Amino acid sequence: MTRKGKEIIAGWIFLLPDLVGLAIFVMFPAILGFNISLYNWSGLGQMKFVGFTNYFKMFQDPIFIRSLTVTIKYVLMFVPLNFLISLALALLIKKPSKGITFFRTVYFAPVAISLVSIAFVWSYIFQQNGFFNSVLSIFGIPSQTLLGSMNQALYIVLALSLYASVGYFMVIFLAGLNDIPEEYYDAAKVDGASFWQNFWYITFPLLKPTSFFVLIISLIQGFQLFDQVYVLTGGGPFYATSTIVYYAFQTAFEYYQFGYAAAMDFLMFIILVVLSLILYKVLKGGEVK
Amino acid sequence: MKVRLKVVVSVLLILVLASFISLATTISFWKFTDTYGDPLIIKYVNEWNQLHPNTKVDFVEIPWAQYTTTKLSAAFASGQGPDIFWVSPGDELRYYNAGVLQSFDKYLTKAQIDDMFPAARDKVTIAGHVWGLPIELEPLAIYYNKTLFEQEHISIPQDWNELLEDAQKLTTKDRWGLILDPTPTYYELFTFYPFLWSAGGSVVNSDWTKSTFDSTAAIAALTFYQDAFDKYKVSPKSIPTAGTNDPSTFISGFGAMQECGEWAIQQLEVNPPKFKWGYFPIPPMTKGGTSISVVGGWIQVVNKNSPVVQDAMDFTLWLFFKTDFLKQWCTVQNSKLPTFKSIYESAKDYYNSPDWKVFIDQILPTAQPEPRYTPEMDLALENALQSVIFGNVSPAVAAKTAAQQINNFLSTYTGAH
Amino acid sequence: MRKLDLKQVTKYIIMSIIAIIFLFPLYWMFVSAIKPVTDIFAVPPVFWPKEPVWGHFAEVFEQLPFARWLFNTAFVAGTITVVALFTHSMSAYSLSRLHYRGRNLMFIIIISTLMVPFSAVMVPLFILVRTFGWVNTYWALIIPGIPNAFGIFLLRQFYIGIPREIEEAAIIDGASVFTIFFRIILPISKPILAALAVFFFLANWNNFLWPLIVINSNSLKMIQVGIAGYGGQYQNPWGDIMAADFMAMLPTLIIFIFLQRYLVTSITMSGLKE
Repeated sequence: MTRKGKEIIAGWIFLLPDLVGLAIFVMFPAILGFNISLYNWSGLGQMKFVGFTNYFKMFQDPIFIRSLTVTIKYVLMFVPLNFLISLALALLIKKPSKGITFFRTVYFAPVAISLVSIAFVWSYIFQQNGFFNSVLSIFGIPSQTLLGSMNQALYIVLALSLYASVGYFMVIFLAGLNDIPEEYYDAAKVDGASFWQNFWYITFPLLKPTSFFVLIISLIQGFQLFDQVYVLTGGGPFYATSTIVYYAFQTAFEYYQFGYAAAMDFLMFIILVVLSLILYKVLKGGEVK
Repeated sequence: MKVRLKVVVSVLLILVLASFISLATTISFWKFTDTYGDPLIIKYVNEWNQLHPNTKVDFVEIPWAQYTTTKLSAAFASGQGPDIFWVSPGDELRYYNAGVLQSFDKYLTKAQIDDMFPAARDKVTIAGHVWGLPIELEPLAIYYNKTLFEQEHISIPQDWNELLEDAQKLTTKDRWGLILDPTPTYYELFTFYPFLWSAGGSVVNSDWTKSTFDSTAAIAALTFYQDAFDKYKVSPKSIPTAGTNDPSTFISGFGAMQECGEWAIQQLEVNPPKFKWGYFPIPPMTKGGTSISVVGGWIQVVNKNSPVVQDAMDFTLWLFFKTDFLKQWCTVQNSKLPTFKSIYESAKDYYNSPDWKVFIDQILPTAQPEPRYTPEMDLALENALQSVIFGNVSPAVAAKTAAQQINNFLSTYTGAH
Repeated sequence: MRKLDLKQVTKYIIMSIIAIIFLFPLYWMFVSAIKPVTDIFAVPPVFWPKEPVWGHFAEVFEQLPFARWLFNTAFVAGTITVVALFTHSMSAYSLSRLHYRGRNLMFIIIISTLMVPFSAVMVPLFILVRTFGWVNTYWALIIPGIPNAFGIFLLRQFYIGIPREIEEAAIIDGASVFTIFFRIILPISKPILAALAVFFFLANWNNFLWPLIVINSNSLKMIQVGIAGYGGQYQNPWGDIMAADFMAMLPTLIIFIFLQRYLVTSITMSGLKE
């Protein structure tokens, strides 16, 4: 057998365990789950076939539209901020120096805390008579309603998400940064390159695979925002922080409309697949040429 | 490393398989976790299991927030609900309409049914039959900081205007005047009912054909909420706990007054605040009107489709009528009002304490049981509340919208009420 | 010489300010764990209680099978992590450095599994797992947790970035795919495997919704499900909950501290000449 032939066989064998696992535990249940969107089902009793009614219902549901807007708004803020902050942190802590282990651990620590605990702290700090407003008053800024305000609550959820995520993506960038062989920097040093030149001509291009990953994953996390809303605001006040996945969850498990919820989940899935395909084509799969 | 893993896994597999080989039947009993109350239930479960080694009860505790939402739903959706579980009036109809509830008619004597307090009996009666056993009665009141009231020379408010005035006097930079529930949850609705009813309002007519929510009474109640949260800003639009059913905010001095239930009495004894406390009935809308509180409380039901229905019923009846469970639950483990007159009589010493006086003499006589509206109706009402508190919607519009939504729902609803 | 010092000093000042912001919630968690109830929601905030309550940390172990939960979670998270590291690096290698028809399609399909919201698959997956008879067993927690596109995706991106030269020498020598993978690729994957180990362990350590659905017995519960049940309908013993959460966070942090030096090992060409 040719080398090429061996490579093809090896390729499939290597892929098999995960492929089979994903097929059984994700793809198959997903197909079943999305299939429910064609029915009305309260979780008890019979399922009633209704075709695409649930999909039409979505676009006439003001709360769904609001959840869609909230989700998009959140993604537009979360993805770039998350990217920039975690990259900046990774660059800061990349070089070994005194006490760097301490800083690395501190920046990563929020990721290890359960969201419930972070929400506990957040809901206390961002009370109207809370800590955050006290700090603002030092600068002469008047008290904000914060979590109780339909306009401001989403930003607080965003802050919580960023706090809980940047350490995570920082670690990913760190590993990616170290993927770049030292030799390239050494050579540049000989030529007298500055920090920014290093960054633009060596770091950023070679970071493309990692950047692509961070972009896609943060996009998925942003669109699927659920946990942070669940622990901090419950979608309130008055749906100001209700995201699609959260609204779908409520629709299924609090209002017992599993079919309608599945339709929302499926729409979310399609949006993500389309967006990711676009990004994949545009960024050439994050491959470095 | 890999070999050791295989050994561990194999041993586990054997243990797991072994656990399936017991020949006894198991009765699954699901409830939301209560670290303080559950030891009592566990005690009786163990007692039963010793007396009946072939029909053991498996008591499962589920985190409160996930109990009705994910855990029960997932279990029933996959076709296998628990044999015994606790249900709140808000969910009762849903299970009833799906034919999940086992009727208790044949198992209770007339004396036992008459022994229930009317509010408790109403809770478990649907279409003239009994479908569960009521465990507790939980009315709401307004707790207040007695020390502050004395300092500011404030007396107990007798109507809504006075309540708002007092709250304004007590609101400072560091303290809210009156804590009402702002969270988008079912509990928020529960705490709204006393205000709706004390204004003379209601949600639907008695045979559920039409919504009565678009009324001056409902608008007055919604206006009160908007005044408290938005106009006079005496109520916090966000709270640091998951809901105001937790009196820790009151105990911390976060608010001078907080609407809460009788369960808080025990917590206030265990974790006393730094001030003297008391509670008073939710004031009527105008002086001389009737104050009507809402009475909550869970119900124990049996799954009609359970393969061990008879055993489940046996256990439930034993727990409620042959043991001290109810009395201990209400007077020792927690501070709750009982659902049976006989239990109340037998615990007279406990209920005669000054702490209970106002609940028993003033609040309970006029209190109404928690309604059992369907989730669709709840959603319409919650939206009305959230929109007037946060969305600057006029109470008249909010009431009208909610009534319309409820009417739309009722026109297709064919279940029980 | 002076210029370098100023840069370093500024850098440390910035890093310290950020560190303080990041540490504040941790400090608040800890201090809430030692506050009496009257102080927890007090305004103005109580930064250190006059009468600290240290008992909460021990109370957690006494009132709940906390130690058992720690064991369960460590066992499940550890097993998943170890197995997943193997399967994912194999899949990632296949998707990035081997060539066969349908490779890119497989990659897209695998990544698309990340886009399915968990709430959509929760009930069907539960029914599936129940059919296997795994409800209320470790199997239900471990097996479905292993296949995960996240790890495959991360490793694939990492492998794409490895220069071709590294394999070329071995290919010329006639080494098989397996040899190249185990002898060359895997050893230099240490940074990314370390990162993935931390992530997987952490994700499974803090996993909540699925373990909640699939486990009933107190003795099999995972730590976050256990902590969530602490308290009751009206009572949330915040001091105990914060103590429990604080302790629950420590194992992952400790693992991170141990593994973080691997995260920063760079690839050097010279390392391959051995």
